[in-house]
Amino acid sequence: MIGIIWAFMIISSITCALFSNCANDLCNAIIEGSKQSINIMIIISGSIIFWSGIMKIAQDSKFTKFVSRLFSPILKILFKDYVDKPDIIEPMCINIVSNLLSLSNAATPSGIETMKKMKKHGLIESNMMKFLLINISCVQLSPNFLIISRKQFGAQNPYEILPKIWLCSLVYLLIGIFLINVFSKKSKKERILKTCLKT
Amino acid sequence: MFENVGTLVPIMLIFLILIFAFKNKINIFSSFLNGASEGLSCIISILPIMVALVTSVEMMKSSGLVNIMTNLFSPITSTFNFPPECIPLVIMKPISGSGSNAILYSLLQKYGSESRIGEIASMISCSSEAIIYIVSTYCGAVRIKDTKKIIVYSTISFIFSVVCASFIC
Repeated sequence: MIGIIWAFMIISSITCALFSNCANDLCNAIIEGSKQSINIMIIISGSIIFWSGIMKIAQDSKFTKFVSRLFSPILKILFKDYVDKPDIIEPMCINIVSNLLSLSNAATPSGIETMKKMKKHGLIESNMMKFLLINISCVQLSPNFLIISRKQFGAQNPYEILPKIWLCSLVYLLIGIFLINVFSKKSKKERILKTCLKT
Repeated sequence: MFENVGTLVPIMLIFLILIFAFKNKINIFSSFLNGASEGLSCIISILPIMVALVTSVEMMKSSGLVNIMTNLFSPITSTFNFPPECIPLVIMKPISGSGSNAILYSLLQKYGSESRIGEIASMISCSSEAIIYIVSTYCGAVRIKDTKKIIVYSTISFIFSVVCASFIC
């Protein structure tokens, strides 16, 4: 998917350059762009390494597990079908907390485990979609990559933007959950109607 | 008030993590080094993607393609005052996380992170994850093939969050 888009970007920009007669600029852009990408990485890499170290401590000291215990009541409201199934709730908590702390390395395995457990207990489509949506909207307490790069590219107070980002993520999450609730209810009704018609 | 909240959260996070590490008596420094070397290998794995995408975005800019796209989308974007410079980011975000990061960095470098473009770009890129990546890894792991619904729903809510970002700024 990304390969197609990347190729499309380059092919279309070359055709565009040929038509608008700026092939020279394009050649310069290839050199400049590759130089720029390495510069960007050098600027942000130090702080990324530091934060991955800190987050590794969080994982090793079971900080994530501790926080995830605090989260289970909220999850039990969202996933009413799984209230009495701690083996689903537990990896789900770990997944969501690792997303909150922007530990994507820890989030993926626990997320996959949750999906497997959900399938084992009989997969309910709306629950699966809610869980995926929480992962996609990915509410992060402190998105370190972003903060670091904002700082490096001239923000006086790079943390200033965090509440706005939380708001955006929440909008994403709430609209998604709303859509799922509305439409999955409809499809349930349809199913009931169909079974009625059959019998 | 908002500034303080944003600044305090990461600092308190480090503080709490270290306190917790002391309490549970783990080897703090060695696990820090483990994590740091993971971060290093993460950077090395991102680097080729960054080179590919930043270069191609630069090519698009210099060839005038971005201007054409901007003109094309301007009727839609001007209705809610959305900066057309962020359109490549909006297209890339649902598809690839590191790709959109590359575009974000080049936007921040060019326009500065305190400009409106920079703020909106950072809000778009951090308010969500790559839809295709999450759906394909999670549903692929349990072999669910019917993923159309979730992709449609999350795309709709992504558009809403983009609109929301341009309203807040």
